[in-house]
Amino acid sequence: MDHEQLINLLPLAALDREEPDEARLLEEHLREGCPQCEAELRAWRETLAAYAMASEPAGSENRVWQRLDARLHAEAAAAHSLARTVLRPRRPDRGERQPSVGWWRGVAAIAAAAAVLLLVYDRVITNRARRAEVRQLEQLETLSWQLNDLRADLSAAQTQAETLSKVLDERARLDRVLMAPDLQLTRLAPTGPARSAGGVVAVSHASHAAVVQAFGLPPAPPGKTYELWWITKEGGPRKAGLFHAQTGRTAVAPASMPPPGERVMLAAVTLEPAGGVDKPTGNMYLKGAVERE
Amino acid sequence: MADVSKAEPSDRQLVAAMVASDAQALHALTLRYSRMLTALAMRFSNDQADAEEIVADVLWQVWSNAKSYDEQRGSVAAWLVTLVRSRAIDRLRARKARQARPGGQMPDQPVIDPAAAVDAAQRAQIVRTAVAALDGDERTALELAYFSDLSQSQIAQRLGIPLGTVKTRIRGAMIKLREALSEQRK
Repeated sequence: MDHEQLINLLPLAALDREEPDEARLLEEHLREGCPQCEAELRAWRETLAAYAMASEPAGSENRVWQRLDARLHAEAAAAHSLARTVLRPRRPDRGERQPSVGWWRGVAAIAAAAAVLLLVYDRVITNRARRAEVRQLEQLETLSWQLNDLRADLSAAQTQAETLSKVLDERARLDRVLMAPDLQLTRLAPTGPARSAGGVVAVSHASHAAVVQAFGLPPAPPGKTYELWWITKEGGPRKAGLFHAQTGRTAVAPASMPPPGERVMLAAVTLEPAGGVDKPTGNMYLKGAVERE
Repeated sequence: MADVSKAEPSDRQLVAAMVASDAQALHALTLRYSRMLTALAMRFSNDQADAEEIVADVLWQVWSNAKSYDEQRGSVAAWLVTLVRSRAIDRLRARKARQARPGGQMPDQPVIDPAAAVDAAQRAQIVRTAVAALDGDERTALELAYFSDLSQSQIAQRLGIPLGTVKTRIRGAMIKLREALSEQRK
């Protein structure tokens, strides 16, 4: 990458939106030292700062200051508390020998020296306390963020668990139908739009359950869904259930039992508006002849 | 007419005062920038309370690490903007799964530095005019690049355009903004 190309990257670098390899190249270049690029990058940052602050001002500086003021007070209180702890005179241990009155001058001198030392170190202690407070606040903030992340993870896990539970229920239903002694299978073959698609409709009158399984269907476009139909000699197409397809996954969904008292000729799958329709309107994707019992 | 701005310390002077633990400097910087920074944070969080918290966090970070300000890298305003944007994006990532809370409160106090406020308003007006004059595609590309967490490739995908076009649009928009600001300084 030549210098001109690197210069062209600088606006994106100011946005922090370079691609990783671009960022690496630019970083190396800047590390080697290039006053022209540094100045350009700075100018782009200033442009973006002006862009960022062009919105109508919002919020309240007083509320922001209240938050900061509270932190300043907490900081000061922490420093004061620490200083008091350090400055508090030590109580003599039980049985410890008390200094005699004759030594008062020495004790006073030592106390004065200690006070001077403590005053000298007061600033150091205050700064340490402030840094400790800052660290604590940062740790608290990190923990708060972690807690939020965990809550989000928990919510996602719950959703996933519900989905898995639903899939397992459907799978159990399929197993129950497939294990039924009166199992009746209708194989579904592609009819055009998805040539590699296929499926099966399993029905058990004894279990009073039916399940449709389909594979190779493209995901339905937004606002659309797949609908299964029983096509009877007497009444034509009868609604039998809705399902969604996902790329690379077999769709399994409960289906309605074939209408009693009617002779079912075919099972078919069409693409219909979301929520389903009473009579097929969309393209037929799968079809299979129902064997007579 | 008196030049009020001369009486006010510069941003750099305020940061220098913060290094010496001058809380008044933090107060002055808060009054000067917090509403503009809150507006910026709201472009990411869409929640005023959240946005004000982000701004307070950033100002506290500046107070605690005032020594780390490097004027060679840019102005104090650019530093603040970078910190707010970065923190807002971090929070956006952390809270992706959470829904934004409703509501917001009315602004209640004007800034106390009228000269600086007028200056900032004029500058903002120039930028807004320049942004409005941008080609719609360029404006969209720049907004997505700045006010979202999307990479260039994701922006290309979102807009259904090649990656090279995204780069061209963003760069074009930024050049026009920079030119508009240069005109203002002349």
